Amino acid sequence: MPVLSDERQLIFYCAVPGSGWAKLSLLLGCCAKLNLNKSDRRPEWVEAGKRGDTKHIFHKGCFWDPKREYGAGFDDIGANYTKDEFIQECLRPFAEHDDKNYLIRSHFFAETKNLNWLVENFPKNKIIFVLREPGPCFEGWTTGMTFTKHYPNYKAWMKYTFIDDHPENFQRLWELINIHDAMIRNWILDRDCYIIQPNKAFLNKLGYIWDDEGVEEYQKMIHTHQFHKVDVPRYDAPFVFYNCSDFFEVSS
Amino acid sequence: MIRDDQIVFFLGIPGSGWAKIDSLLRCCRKFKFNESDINEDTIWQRNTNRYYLNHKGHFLGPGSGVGEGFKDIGANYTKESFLEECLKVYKDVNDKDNYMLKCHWFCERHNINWLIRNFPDSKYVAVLRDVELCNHRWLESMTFNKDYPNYSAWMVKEDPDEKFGSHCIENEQNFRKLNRQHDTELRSFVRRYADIIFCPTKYILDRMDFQWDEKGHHEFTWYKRCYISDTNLYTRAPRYETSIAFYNCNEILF
Repeated sequence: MPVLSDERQLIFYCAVPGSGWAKLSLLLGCCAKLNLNKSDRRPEWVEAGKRGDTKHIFHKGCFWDPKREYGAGFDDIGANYTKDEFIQECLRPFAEHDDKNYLIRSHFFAETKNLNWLVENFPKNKIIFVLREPGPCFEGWTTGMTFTKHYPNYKAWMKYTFIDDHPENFQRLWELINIHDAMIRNWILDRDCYIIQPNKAFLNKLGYIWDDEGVEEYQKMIHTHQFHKVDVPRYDAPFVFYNCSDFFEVSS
Repeated sequence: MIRDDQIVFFLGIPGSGWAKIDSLLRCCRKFKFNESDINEDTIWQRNTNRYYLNHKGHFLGPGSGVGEGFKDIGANYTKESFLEECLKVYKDVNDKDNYMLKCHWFCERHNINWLIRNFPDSKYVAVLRDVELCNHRWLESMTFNKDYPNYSAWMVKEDPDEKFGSHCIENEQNFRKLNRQHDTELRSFVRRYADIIFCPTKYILDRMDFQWDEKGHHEFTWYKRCYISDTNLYTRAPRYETSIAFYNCNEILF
């Protein structure tokens, strides 16, 4: 059974579907200061979405959420797991366990009860969010993803699981995006959070490594995210950092 | 004469909430802004059903009385004459304070390039907000030449019957066109130069040593009401739709 040498190795990551969070998490994977364990990456967990353009792969590694292989009980963490069970559920998909940090990505962390449970049980851990308006998120998700035909599945967002593109599934998706978006926004309102746009200079502050992988992930983010349908960057999907002060204690 | 590093160029398009951000930054001790540009002639406010406006201090640029040639700074000024023109709005000029210089027309690409070339050691602060939200806010709550500051430089036609929320179509179209252009050019600048871009939350303001006195609370409360609070009954969640980009400000932020 894998163990954590320090509970703070778990970094919780949360946003609503279509926010571009998966792409942005790949940027975090290139930041030395986050020092992320990437042993959850497997060939079957790589996804280019509806467009199928392998240049724009944006899902890599594990995503935890209800009705998926991992995080089945994440709709109500406190009711479904003890703290130890939750830690094991977070660590299960990783092939290697070391002193690096684990980025645990779940849309359902957005539920207020889950965020409160996380802070209560892991008061020193970092939580990173991505904020984006529900309209562009819905458009982004429906342009690139399906409920069951691409990785990861979005069965927990479906009303009728027997038909993938049933109109009421999209209605349910829209409602959940709005609900979770509002929950995140209200939760961070009076908490100590930095809301920061992911530009190059800021990534450098996080120790971004400009090797082949770093350049590739950055280019993908620029082309498919910040410049989607526009000539100048939108800056419409900032990171929110909670409990991350140590990231910013650098003078340049 | 003041040093270049005392100057903070402040950029934003109309309706972006830059005046409110200006008020917030003036409450930050680390910026140590000189406020001798504020007097009874440079304070103005309006509360519409939807928007609260509170303009304080100077606004430079054509139509404002100072900076009439700022549509093309390089063609109309030397570095010295430009600075002399800008500082006319301050009663007290010393070598200790920082001086915010605020003008929408700084957003023009040729002006930004001129500023960066001539004032490489100055600080730059840019306010970013979705251009459609900016258009709506400004067109619903301001007039071109009946309020403070004066926006006659955005007009292409006289409009004596103008009221806030009701403008002649030619002026409105020109406003939208200029706002789109300035937004594009401002974002290009931010992309090239910004060190960091963040939303002004309480925590970030604290990093800049925000003074939580009566004035500070007042400014932050109104900022929240105007730019964070959501009036949509369905969602009721803060929007965080305004970002501030900083260049050459690391000593203040980190």
